[in-house]
Amino acid sequence: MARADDTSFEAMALPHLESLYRIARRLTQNEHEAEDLVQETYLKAYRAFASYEARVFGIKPWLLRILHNTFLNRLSREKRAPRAVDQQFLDQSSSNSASLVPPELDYEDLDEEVVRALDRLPPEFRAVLLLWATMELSYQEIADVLEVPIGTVMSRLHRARRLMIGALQAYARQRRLLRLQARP
Amino acid sequence: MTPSEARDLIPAYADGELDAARRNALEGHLAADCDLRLEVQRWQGLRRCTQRGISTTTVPDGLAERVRARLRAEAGRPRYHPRVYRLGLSGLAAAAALVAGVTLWPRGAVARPVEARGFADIHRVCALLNHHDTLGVRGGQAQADFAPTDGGVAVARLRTRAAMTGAVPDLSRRGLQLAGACTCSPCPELRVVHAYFRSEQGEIISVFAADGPIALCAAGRVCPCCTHGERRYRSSCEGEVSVVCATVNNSSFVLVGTGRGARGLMDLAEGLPLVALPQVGGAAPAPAEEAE
Repeated sequence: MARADDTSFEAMALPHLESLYRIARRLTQNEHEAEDLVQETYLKAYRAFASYEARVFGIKPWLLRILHNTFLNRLSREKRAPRAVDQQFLDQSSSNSASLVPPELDYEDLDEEVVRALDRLPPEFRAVLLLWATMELSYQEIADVLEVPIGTVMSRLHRARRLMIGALQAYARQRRLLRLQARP
Repeated sequence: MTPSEARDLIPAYADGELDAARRNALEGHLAADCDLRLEVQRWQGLRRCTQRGISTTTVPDGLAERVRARLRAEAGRPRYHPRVYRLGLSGLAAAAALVAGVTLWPRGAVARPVEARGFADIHRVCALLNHHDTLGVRGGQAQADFAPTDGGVAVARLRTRAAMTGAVPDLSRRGLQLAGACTCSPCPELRVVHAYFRSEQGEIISVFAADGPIALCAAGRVCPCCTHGERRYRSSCEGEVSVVCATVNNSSFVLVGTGRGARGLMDLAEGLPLVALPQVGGAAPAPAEEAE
């Protein structure tokens, strides 16, 4: 593997700044904390750049891993580590999943509600959903970033999507956004 | 593959995560089942919708420049050879644990909560009441040390009776002349250089340069953060005195004044070279010691 040159760090890493900030913004749910998190991520990445080995899929997953670990460290420091999700909550989500298919919605009108639903997800589910939806990463790459087994990624992703759909269906019913036309 | 199994595979299929055998098997079901095809579209729709929702998040102006500036500041710091670093790692870790155990307050990047009222009181006593003018700790000595740095910005290296050296911005282009300086600090553990400036109209502004990040507090809680121009500030109103605090490169700068309000102080600070220079000399004396 080619070891990246120190001087190329800015050229390689800074193009991903906006993506990282958007992930950080949703993880922290706070504009200023997001900026702090991004700055800390870049500093840590810069300091560790000598040990970075370019992979076929580039520097972005590496930066995301640092960002995610930094975020978890901060949560831990603030004694707000992600709590284990209430098993009853998960059981309920799982038992409802048979009847939960993605709602037939006019998604164009739902962007803001999607963000709100995303913000309400537990942090570990939010992280996996963000990486899946916005970073175009494979399940294996998400597993690498989060440092969890691929099975955990699939499980969290499945539950996260179910929770999102549940929230969106509730919103759709409330706003009567469900399409009424018969299926072909 | 049963219809139920086929349905379970829809998310992985929509994500392109199925191997060829299962993909082919599922596509057989998809060709025959319109509901399954719709479900694929909905999963993909959820992803697109999430992408769109996230893409509306506005990235703060100047973030790239601020990150670049921090990286370049970091590049200027001494770096250690990886082997030396590894060899010393365990020793350093032990030393760090020891230091952490005996140090009352964590140093480094952890912002120290400091009461805004402390800065306001020092501003009143030292700057407004000319407390130090009777002690021979005057700005005239420090004024001579205003000099441009490499970046072309002027800072003052203030030498007071306590041999503290610090950096404060030159406000002369904004109509404020350095009038005095001291090392009075709102808390004993915080090393501070306090410089105060006077305009021809008699306005007095204090600038405190601290050797670490500060989380400005008021009434027992950390003051809220706001962005003004290119910097982030915490601010507090202490009676008629306004206090604003900006943290730049792990050092904090506090501006205190009367009449302009917090916004006015932020306007004043906007574009000022808040340059962190190493402070040398003894620890900051307590205000009482300085006054003696």
